[in-house]
Amino acid sequence: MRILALAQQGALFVLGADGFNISDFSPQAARLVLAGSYPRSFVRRMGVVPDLPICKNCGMADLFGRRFIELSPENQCQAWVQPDFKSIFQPVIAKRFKPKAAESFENQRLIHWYRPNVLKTKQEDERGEWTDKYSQSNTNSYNAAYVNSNPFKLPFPLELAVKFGKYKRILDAGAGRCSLEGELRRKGYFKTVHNFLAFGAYDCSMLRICAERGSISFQHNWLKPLPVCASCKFDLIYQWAGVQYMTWEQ
Amino acid sequence: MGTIEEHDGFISGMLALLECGGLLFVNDIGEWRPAFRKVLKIKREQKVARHNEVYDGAFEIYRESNTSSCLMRLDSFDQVSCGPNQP
Repeated sequence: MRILALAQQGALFVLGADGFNISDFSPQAARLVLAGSYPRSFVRRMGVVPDLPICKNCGMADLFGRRFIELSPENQCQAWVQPDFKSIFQPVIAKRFKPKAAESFENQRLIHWYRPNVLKTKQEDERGEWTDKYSQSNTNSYNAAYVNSNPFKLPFPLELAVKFGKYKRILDAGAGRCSLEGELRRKGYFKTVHNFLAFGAYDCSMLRICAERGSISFQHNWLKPLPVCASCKFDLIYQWAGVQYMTWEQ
Repeated sequence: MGTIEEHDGFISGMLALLECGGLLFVNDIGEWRPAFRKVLKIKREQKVARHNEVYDGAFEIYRESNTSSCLMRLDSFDQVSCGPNQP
């Protein structure tokens, strides 16, 4: 079970498996979670767990499908968690959320998540990951368009079409920091968009931005068929600022 | 930048995921556009897709909806279950 993908204090619900409990995880994986409040729910412990190796690399494939580590029940490691990591459930961040605000919890999350969580995401990495480099070299752009509170990605005419329900099944191919999902969410467009799928980021640090924003994304090489059923189709596929990287495949 | 083969792989792969008449919107900067345009021209000649270049680097690519292959796939779309996570 891929509990490594859980964020700090993230919850895992195991459905359709009566009697499943913590001892059903591998011994290493069981160290990462606590029993949750609901039956068959588990919560990822905060911080680095003792006596479990830290993964030397991100467990996800890179942009072109290359994996630097292979995870298995026998080869279990935990993601590096910065000492100053702050979950949205910790009081210092949670108190920023207004329980009776007009904005939903998920929209407030776009505003209040702790920005340093996506920096220094790899232990003992002097070069740094994408977020470390870009936040230094293009600070204004990074703050305004990558970790901003108001994600945006749709050009105006297309946004209007989405707003009025023309597109109901959307694929974000090259989702990056998940700005499209964030825009659809904060503008309430998921009332008409029924299916949404997103993939593609420079590296795990960029996917951390998606995770902190509460968006789901995964890694996939778009020159290979997507792992969806052959009859699953989209009426809008969106690709923003990723085609120039095509030759990285070489 | 990408070779013609790579752009063809990308566009063909994305078109295969589009419903008939669906829109693939692509926008970027850089030197990839000549090869991309060549592939789009071939797709147009094959009546697989038509496109508008909205401005330099922004392409609206529509999967043709009146071809027999597209209509056949639409028929199967209505009949094939997409699994428990799909409506």
